[in-house]
Amino acid sequence: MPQPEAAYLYQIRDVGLCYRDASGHDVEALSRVDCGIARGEFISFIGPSGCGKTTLLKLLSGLISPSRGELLFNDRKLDGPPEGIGMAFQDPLLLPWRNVIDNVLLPIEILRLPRQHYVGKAADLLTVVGLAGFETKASWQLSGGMRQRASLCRALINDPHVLLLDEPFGALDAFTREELWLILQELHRRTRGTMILITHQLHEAVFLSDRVVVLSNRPGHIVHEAIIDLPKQRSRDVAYSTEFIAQVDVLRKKIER
Amino acid sequence: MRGRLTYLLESVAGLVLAFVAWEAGVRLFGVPKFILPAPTAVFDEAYSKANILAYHAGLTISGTIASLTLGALLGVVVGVIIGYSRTASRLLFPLLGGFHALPMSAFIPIFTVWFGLGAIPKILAGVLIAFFPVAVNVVTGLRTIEPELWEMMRALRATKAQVFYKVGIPRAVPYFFASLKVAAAGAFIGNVVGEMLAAGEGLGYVLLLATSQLNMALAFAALTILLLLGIAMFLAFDALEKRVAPWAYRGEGRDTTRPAGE
Repeated sequence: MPQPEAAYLYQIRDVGLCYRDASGHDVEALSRVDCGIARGEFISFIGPSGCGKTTLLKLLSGLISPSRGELLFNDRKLDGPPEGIGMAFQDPLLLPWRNVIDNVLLPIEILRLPRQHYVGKAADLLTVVGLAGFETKASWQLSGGMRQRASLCRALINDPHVLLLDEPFGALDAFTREELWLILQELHRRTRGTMILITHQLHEAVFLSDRVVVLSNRPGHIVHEAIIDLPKQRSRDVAYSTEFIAQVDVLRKKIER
Repeated sequence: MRGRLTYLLESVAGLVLAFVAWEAGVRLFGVPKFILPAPTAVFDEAYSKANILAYHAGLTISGTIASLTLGALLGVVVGVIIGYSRTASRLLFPLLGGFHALPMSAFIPIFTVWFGLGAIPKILAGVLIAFFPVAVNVVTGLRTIEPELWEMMRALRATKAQVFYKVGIPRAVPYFFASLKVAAAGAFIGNVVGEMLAAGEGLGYVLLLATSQLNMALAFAALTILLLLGIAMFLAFDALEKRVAPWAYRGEGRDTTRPAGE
């Protein structure tokens, strides 16, 4: 009998996080966050800078533990990084001494999986993101956008259940960013994995997500949640439609300044 | 390629200019030979004693190579231990810093007592000077891993050892090769000073002997050879450094054939 899959990949119940900063003050980064993240969902967290978005992502990755509340991953209490998560940051963090494909295969080496089984998959991923033919290029010879593409491939090479994205397109120009939105959408369609995006770009959140969660100023808590009522497959033109702009506007008004 | 040739020509031109200025200065002010001989007099002396100078230069070179090899090995071992273990770092790093502040030539008489006159004291002095920059640079390379990279690796449940040899060690390689330039000069200094104090052979000894006999032409011949050796070492390690880790020099405009677009 196959086990019935839980509806939620993550259950965040009344989670708060305090930490002591460098000067010895207690800082409350998150307070009373309550949220479920469904399997296969694309969810974005947006909010003003310093609202604890990155802290939330670190909690979800298991790198830190909540100071209060409960955080369940696959119905089990999260205790350290679980198996099957991929991460991508604003800085692509490719290892400059490795070529593109060796960077993509880094997680495979860390997980001690047979490399030869994943070389084909790495090439496929690179093709999807538009880096076919760049496999043996030195990673430091790539442009910023190309590095971020390679970084996405690296995050996905070991078929993670969930991809955690911390402002991955924050440092890119508008054209490259929109192109990468489409690529990320395509990757989500193919992998059917859960994707969790942290961003302060409203358009980005609305374009990519099934659901957008707005966090308040520090200490961060959820002030608004919106289901994005747009077709799943979104073209670049969608971002300029009236429905899209209306959705963005609703969210914009929920963000404190 | 053109860049490298220009660099070489410019280096040689700098050297030639220095000698021309020296020659002109000596002639212009009529400096006596026993104070500062002109380069032509120095080259004459060097030419007439070429065999002797070559023999002693060989000893200085072999001693320097021995010091650099041992010093670099020791530096890597100490650097890796300190870079890997926080505890070792707390125990050893301050000690290392204090130790470096000591004049290493002060150890030469002690080494002479322990090992007698000869090559060992000078080689050990070179080791002591050479190992420090290597150790510090290796530690820096290992310690400055980007925090996000740590997070990504930890999220993949990488062990500390895995992060260390997949990221830390390759990252430390250019730091290591950069430190070799400094370490080679240190090994060289240790050997020359050692030869002046305790060897009875080598260019440092020749320098000491020549000045005691007021043969300034020979002293400056020895100094000039030391200078040329120093330049050769510097250029060799500089080239090695850029060859081993080209990615670390991506800002210098060499081979940065970035693809167009994006």
